[in-house]
Amino acid sequence: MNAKALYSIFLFLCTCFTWAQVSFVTKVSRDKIGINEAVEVSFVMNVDGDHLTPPEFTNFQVVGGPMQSFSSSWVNGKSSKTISVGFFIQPTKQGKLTIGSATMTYEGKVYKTQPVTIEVGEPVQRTQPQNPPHRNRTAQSLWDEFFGNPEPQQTPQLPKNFGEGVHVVAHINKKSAYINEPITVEYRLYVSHYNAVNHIQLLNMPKFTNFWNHVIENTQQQVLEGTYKGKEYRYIVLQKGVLLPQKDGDLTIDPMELEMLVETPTGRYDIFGRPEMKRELKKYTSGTHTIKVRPLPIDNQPESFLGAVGSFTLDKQVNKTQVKANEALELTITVKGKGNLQLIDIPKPIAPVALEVYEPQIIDKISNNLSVGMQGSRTYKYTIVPQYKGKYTIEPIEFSYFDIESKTYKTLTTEPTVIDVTEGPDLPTNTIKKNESITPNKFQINHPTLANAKGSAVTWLENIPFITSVILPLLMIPFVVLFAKIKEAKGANTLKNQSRRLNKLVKKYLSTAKKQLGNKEVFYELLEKSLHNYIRAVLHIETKDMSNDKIKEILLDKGIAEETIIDFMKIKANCEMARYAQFTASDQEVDYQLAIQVIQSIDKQLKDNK
Amino acid sequence: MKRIFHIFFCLFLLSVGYAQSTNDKFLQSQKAFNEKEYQVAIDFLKELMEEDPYNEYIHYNLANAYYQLGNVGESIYHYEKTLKINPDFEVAKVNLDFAKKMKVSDIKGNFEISQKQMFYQLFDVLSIRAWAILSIICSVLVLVSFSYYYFSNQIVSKKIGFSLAIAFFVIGLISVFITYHQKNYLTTYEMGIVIPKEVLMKEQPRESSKTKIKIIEGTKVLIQEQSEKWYKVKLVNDSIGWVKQNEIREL
Repeated sequence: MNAKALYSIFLFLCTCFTWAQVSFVTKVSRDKIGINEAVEVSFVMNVDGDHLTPPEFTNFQVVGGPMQSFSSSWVNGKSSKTISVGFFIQPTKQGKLTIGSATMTYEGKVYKTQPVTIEVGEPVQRTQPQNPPHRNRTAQSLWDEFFGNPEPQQTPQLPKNFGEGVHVVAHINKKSAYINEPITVEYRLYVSHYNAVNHIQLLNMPKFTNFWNHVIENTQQQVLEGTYKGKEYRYIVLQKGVLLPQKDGDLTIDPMELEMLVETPTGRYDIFGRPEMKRELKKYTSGTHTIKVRPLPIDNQPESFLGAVGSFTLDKQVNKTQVKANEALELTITVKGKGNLQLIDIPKPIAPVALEVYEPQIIDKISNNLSVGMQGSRTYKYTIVPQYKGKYTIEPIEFSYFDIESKTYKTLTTEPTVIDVTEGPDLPTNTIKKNESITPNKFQINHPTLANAKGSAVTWLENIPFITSVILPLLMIPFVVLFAKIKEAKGANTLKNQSRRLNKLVKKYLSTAKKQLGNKEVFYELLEKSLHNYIRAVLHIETKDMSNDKIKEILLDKGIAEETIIDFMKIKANCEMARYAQFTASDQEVDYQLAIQVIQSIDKQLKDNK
Repeated sequence: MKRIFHIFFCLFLLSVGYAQSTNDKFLQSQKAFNEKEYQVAIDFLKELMEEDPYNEYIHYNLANAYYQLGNVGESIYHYEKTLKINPDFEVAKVNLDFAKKMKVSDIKGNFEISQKQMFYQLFDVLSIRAWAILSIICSVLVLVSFSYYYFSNQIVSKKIGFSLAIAFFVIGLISVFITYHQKNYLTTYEMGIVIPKEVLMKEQPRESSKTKIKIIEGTKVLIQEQSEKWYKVKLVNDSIGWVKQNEIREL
């Protein structure tokens, strides 16, 4: 195959495709116009495309449109349709002007039209015959041509004031309102039965500053019959809306301005008796309106007032009241009525911490009824998830609004909601709650007495020698010990001293006795004295108790040997004998030695026994 | 023994004497209160308070009188003081709630219980006076049981006497510490109450410094730091700033 064949196949395929393909083009009625003329531009497509966006008509002014037209046909079992959107545009300057490309989407693809160029020339002189009412022109010219009758036949004259013309009127239902009170506005174009309008062009759309506005789009423009200032008119509603003033004071509503081609009867009639019409481009305005907005009274404004104005009813519903922990339940609060429904807010329900309340879902069913403003309902749907077992009360919900009719605040309250959570963990703070409920909810009276005040102990503590009182008994411990020691030591000393003194005496007497050896009487006296003192020192007995038997007994008690005792007694007897009997046959030397021997022996035995 | 007896006798006399001198004024204040002469009652109670600054009942009645006069700051201060001294004084808690409701606005929340406060409440099973008396008794008992130990001839009684002495010594020592801790807790401060109607909390301890927030009378603050004429305070909502010392009454 050569390249030519390929090319022709490609072309063929292209055409095939093009047939099935989307066509989207810009068509203009004329491509050469005068600057004062309008041209019709239409964007034509053969499919049902979406999002048709006309180009920005730079250097043009849109004087009419968009006008939609739709046609479909069946040819040989094939359907074809044409959709077009048209505009009347008027150039604003001379020269070669380009109309940009329009876009639309079809099955996800974006299609564009080719730009179109229009040559705009010098203004064209609009002559009367060029643009007279169509049917009049033909009829009259024909009559003139054929019958040469310059004067039209006079038909019965209509009243002069009949069909005064065209009016643009803003109908406002209130001259004064409270803040947030709905006001309805309707812009109407009145046209009398004897007038006609063409090419309506909106010059100024009202901007409702300081108003919250809801403009109702009316897609169908229906011609209605009505009276205005006592006269019959045809009218169309240009725009209507609900306004909520947001500020107090004198608020102005901007005028709506229209420019249109008006046909008015000239007062002359053609041969068929029809009035001759004159065309004029004329501006109409609805005029500025002032509305006096009063602020809502501040006195007696309830705490729960959040700006609702109108008249409402409050409804509360819970889908279940017995749930398990962690099972969601729904609390719906609905405000129904008329007023500024879209601007109202309902206070959040106050629930115990054990119930977790999530952010609400807001459902609006609001219709904008012109006679009352907004009407419908707003619903708050709260999802609540209980966390702990127990019975909980959701506090009553309060909703306040300003009632326009009675000019007072009204408060609506729902019933409290009791939710019983049957299963789930116990609330950790339950016990504390119980205690709280016990405490009386009443201001408590004065305490009647100062007695037993805990805190006064601080003063008391500062006044008493506290630390001294604590330390003093402890300090006394060493004293007790010391005291006991001294006393004991003293007791032991007296006994020892005595025996030491006595021993001294014994030694003294013995040594004196030794000197008196030979002097019989003195010697034995001294010897006896020394023995006597010795016994006193050793046996700790007094002189008066001293008898031989007692001495013997005590000595035996102390475990002294019997021989020593006998020796002692013998010495003692010798001493007595020598003193009282005149007896000479005695050996002083032997007795002295014996006495020393006995004393030493007793000392030794006493020490051994100890 | 005679000496110890003397000490106790003196203590007894002291408490009796104290009770008699104050009772008259107290009764007068009660009478004034009942006759709705709240300012008079306040004057009497204030005199009493000077003699005995830590008597919770004086503070409580004083708070009630201030409450009746609508003095929120003073009222809350004295209720808080009452509860500091006697944390179990339920009646004061109820009235404190009433006083708090009079506040223009309230920052919700509570301060964490400090260590000192925790110990105070723990040891509050006995009053300071009881702890003090316990210390003295323990001290005396140490002496007695030691003497018993020392003079006894038998080994078993010696042992008993010695162990008792040690035990009483330890108990006594602990009681002394607790007594001082409790007293220390009451006589020092960690918190403060805003007394004027409105106080500006500054970012720096300077008059010219930027104002952080306004705090209103009766607000409880935690005193963190002290500089000349200023306190660095913390609110329940953790905001920290400086407030002049004379605008805060230490609790």
